[in-house]
Formats: sequence, C-alpha cells, structure tokens
Amino acid sequence: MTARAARRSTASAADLAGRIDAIRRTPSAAGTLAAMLAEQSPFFTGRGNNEAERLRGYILASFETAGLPPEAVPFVLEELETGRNPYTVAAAARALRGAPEVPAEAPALLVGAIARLRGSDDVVSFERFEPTPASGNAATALAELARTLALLGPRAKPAVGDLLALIRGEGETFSPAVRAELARAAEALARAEPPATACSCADDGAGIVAPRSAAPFASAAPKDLRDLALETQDGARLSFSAAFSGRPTALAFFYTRCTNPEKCSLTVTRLAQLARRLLTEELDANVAGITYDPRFDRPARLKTYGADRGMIFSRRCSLLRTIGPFDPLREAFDLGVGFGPVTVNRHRLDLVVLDASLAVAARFERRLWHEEKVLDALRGANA
Amino acid sequence: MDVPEYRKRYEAELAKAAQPKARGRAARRALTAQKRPSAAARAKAIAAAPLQEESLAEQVAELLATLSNREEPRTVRMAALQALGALDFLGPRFAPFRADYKQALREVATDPERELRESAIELLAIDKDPYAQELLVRGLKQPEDALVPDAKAIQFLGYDDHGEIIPLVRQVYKRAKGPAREEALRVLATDPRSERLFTRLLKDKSEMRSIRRLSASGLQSLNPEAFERTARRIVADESEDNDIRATSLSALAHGREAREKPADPKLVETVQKLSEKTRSPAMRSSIQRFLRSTEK
Repeated sequence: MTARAARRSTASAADLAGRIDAIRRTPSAAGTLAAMLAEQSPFFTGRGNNEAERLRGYILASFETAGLPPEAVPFVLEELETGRNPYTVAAAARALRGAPEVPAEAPALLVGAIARLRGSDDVVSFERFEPTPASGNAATALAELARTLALLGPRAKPAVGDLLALIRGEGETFSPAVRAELARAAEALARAEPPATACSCADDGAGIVAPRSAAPFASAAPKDLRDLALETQDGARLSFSAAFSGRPTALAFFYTRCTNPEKCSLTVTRLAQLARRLLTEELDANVAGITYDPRFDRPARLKTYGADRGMIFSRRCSLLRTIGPFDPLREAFDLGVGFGPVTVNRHRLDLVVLDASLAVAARFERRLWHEEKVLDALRGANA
Repeated sequence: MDVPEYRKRYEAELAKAAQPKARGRAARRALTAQKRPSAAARAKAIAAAPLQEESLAEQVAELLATLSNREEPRTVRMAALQALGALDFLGPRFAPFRADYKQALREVATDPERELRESAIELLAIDKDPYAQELLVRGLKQPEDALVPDAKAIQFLGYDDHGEIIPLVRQVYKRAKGPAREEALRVLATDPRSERLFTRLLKDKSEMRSIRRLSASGLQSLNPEAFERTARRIVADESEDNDIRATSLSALAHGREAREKPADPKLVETVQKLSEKTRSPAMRSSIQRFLRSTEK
C-alpha cells in the first residue's frame, strides 16, 4: 500500500486491539500474530507512530502465552536492541517468556535495554489496550525486563556479568522496586547452571541477510529504478543509475523526523564513519542514505542533518530524496517501513549493498549493522 | 526515615522558611501558621525548599502525595507540581521516581482544577504520552469533553513532531478562531500538504498580520523556494503592509537567497529603491539586513 493510501485507513486502534484479543484465543495465534508484525503490514497502515507502537507492543506481549514462533524472534530482538518506547520494549521482554528456545544474544539485549531505558521507565499494562493511568501496583517496563531475565534463569547466565556491572554502576538510578527485581534476577542468574548447549536460533545482529535478489533491478523490481529521479542534499538532480552505477554502493534508509536516536540518527552517523573508512582503505564505493520522507526532507534539511552527524559530502557520499513518491524504492528493496497519516510510523533498519550493475549483493536488515561486515560486503561486490 | 516523620519535619521547615518576611498582621498570621501554615505560606515554602540529596526519595514521595491529594489547596498542589517539574531536570537522580511521577501526572490530567490539569497534560504531552494525547484528541473531536482549550490542545499535541495529529489539526483549523487558529498553523508548518494553505494566507492582504507572519515562516520551512517566490512579490508590492514586507525581506536575507547563491540583481535593485522611499523603521532595518547579506 502506498503512503497516500495509508491516509485512507479508518478502523480504530481499539477495534484492531479487539481483533488481536480474538486471535489470542485461537490455536494458531502465534503464527497469525507474527504475520501481522511487518512494518508494511496493512494492520499498521495509516496509524500514527504512537498508535502503531502500542499495537505492536500489544501483539508482542501476546507471545508470552501464545508461544513465540521463530519468525517473530527478529522483531523481538530488534525491539530489545533499539527500542525506545518502554511499552513496546517491555512487550518484547514478555514475548521472550514464550520462547521455546531463547536466542543466545537475548539476555545481553535485555540487560542493554534495561540500561537504555533507565531514565525513562514507565508503568505498563498489557491486560487491555487503551492507555490509561494503571493502578498503583502495576509493573514498570524495567521491572518487566528484569522479571524476564529472572525467568530465563540458566539460559540468561552469560549476561550475569553485565547485569551485575549495571547494578553496581547505575543502581541508584533505579527505583527501589526495580532494584529489588534486578537483585532477584542477578541471584537467579548467578545461581543457575549455564545451558549445556548453545541455542541455534540466534539471529546475529551483525550478520548479513541473504540477498533476496541477485539479479539487476531491471529484471527483479516491479519498476526499473535506473531512471528514478533523485535529488542530493545540494539540490542536484540525477537518476538512480547516475548516482550509483559503476561501483559498489552501501545504501541505507532514514528520515530526519525519526525520534529514535538508535535508528536514523545513528544510521547516518555510521554512514559518515563508513565513508571515512572507504577513504582510508582506498575502496572505490558510494555511501548514501535516501529519506523515506521526501516531501519533508528537502535538500537543506538533508544537508544539515548529515553535516550534524559528521557527513563529509562528496560525489561518493550523499544524502538524497526521491523527487516523486518513495514507493518505488520500498517495493524494489522490500523495505520494512510503514506510513502513518503524514510520515513514517515505524521502520526497521535497512541497508543494501549494490554492486556496480545495481544488483543487490547483500542486505542488512532489522538489527544494527557492523561497519566491518558492510565493508566486507562492499569488497565482495567490488571483486 | 519514614514519610510521616519526614512530613512533620518538612512542614516545620516550611513554616520557618515562610517567617522572615512577615511583618505586622502578616507576622501574626505567620505565628498562627507555625501550627498550620497557610496555603500561600506552604506553597512558597515548597517552592523555596532546597534539594535534599540524602532524603530525595522522601521529598519526592511527599510532593507526589501533595500533588495527588484533592483535599489540598490548589496553590499548594501547584507548587508541588512545579517542584516535581524542577526535580525532573535532575536527570539520572530523578530517574527512580519518573514512573511514579508520570502516573501522578496522569491522575492529575483529569483533575477538576483547570490550572493543575493543564500543566499536568502539558508535561505529559512534552513526553509524547499516549494517554495525554488521547485525552487531547478526544477534546478536539468532542469539544464538550475538552480538558483544555483548543489552542492549548493543539499546542500540546504539536510537541509530537511525528505529525500524527496533522489530519485532525487540518479539520480543526477550519473551525478555529483566534489563538487556536494560530496554534493550528504552527503545527501545520510541518505538513508538506499545507504548503498551498500557507501560500494563500501569506498572499492574502485581508488576513491578520500574525496569521501572515506564521504563514511566512511555515512556508519557508516547508518549501524555501516557494517562499522566496512569494516573498519577492510581497517585497516589491508597494500596496503591501510594511510589516509583512519587512518580515519577508528579513526571511529572504536569512534564507537560501543570501547563503547559497548570489543575490538576484533585480531584487537587490528593488530593495535599494525601496530604501530610498520607505519611512517604516521595520522596513529600514530589514532592508539594511538584506543588503548586508548580499555583500557576502
């Protein structure tokens, strides 16, 4: 569905929450709910960011009782790694409780989430969807995260060192109730025996995702991107092909109105670092970011946003917007982005590595990408 | 230390803190207040109470209890709310209390006291709190349920720059008057679809100056090129309001025109001619600023 069509969506969030409640009671709840999580799902289309976040949280929390299916694990790990909304992060922690096998990195991500949210804890309740002032004894997001760690017990032992360091270093920033939960979690982890075998269901955040298409866009995409009109941060107009063909490209997506510092702001900062590495390594490649929000992110805004994050603009390093709608890019790269009434309501992290002929050589999605792995992919695309 | 004990000590300190400025009748009132301080004295003392590192938890608990207690006078509760707002700036030191603080704000968001309610909703809205946003949206959709005036509701919802409120603000704009209309335009300045509206309002000589000024900044933010085109016409139009011409010229001086490309000689000529004719101090100041910017 296009961003324009997104504005036509009408069902109320409460109605959708009712649908989630109904699905929760069915035998195939886990699979059905997992299928609803994609950012581009019609379920979220046309919703505001806050509403989409709450619906996502409500779905995630359902996995505690419905069971966490493997296809929903990346969504849970993503939330624990980069989520900023206490409600949704707590929901991801709840979801982990329903996992038959806990991903190896989950305990460390839980501890990371506790550290990240320690200044913005809030009362959360998953009993009903509507945001209301919950009763005095309702748990907070940090308490939910700590309880999940404690419940994981032996499976979370690898994170005990990080947890104890957090309690020692930042203990005073937690409320007495959360401190007690953290102490219980630390005790449960310290007591527990580590699992005999490592879980094989880990989704390595640093990892590369197999490209969905090895063919050039001309044959793979519904619309040829070669002629797609783009505009740089300096207002120069050029085609997609003129911008990127002839050498490999690391292409990420972002928008300047993104309020999660772990996502777009960090992505552009890391693109800037990547561009500097390319210079020192003398690797001939492009580094670029394209905004999801082309009507708002005009050249001057792109320029300021990039410069503030260390981008040194050049022919090989740029931030761009599409002149027309963003949809052709979303379709061609199957990007995980959903649109609300005005702008993006939710997106995953997406970075694609293109070879000189604009074929997708590698892609990194949902989890934070590591510079070294992107550099390796660029070298591979250059070979 | 437990909360009741802390409360006794705190109230004694408050009464003491309120004493020194009392004279005559006020002194007698203050003497009585030593047993039961007046609302004004208590509010004043809460505002003046120093941060106590060793008993911050008790201090916050007391303030939260005062804020939530509907039996307390409005001024005292307001002072408690302001003190909590100040403590929120402590950052990590206030972190242990933030969840309770937000809950207390949510309770006060529907309080019968207008001033308290409005302040609590604003503090929550700054934090993009979904509960506060829901209350505000409900009030805009159903004015009989409104907890704050339309202008405030739009302003508070505008703190969330994700723009999810924009479709509703577009509707409210059509019926809004006075401050609500101005607030709506401030929010719509992040809505690319409102570009035409801003262009029309900026050009409309029958519109109020404040509306045209807001439209100028809205259009400049949404589409600097479109703003430049309209602003040039306004600057050159001798039948235009001097204030709007001055605003347009200042914006041109600070915008793309001055920074990123050489000034258009035609526009410079127009402005130079204008400088010889105009008597408006605002225009003269804008002209000087513009001409200086072209010298760079």
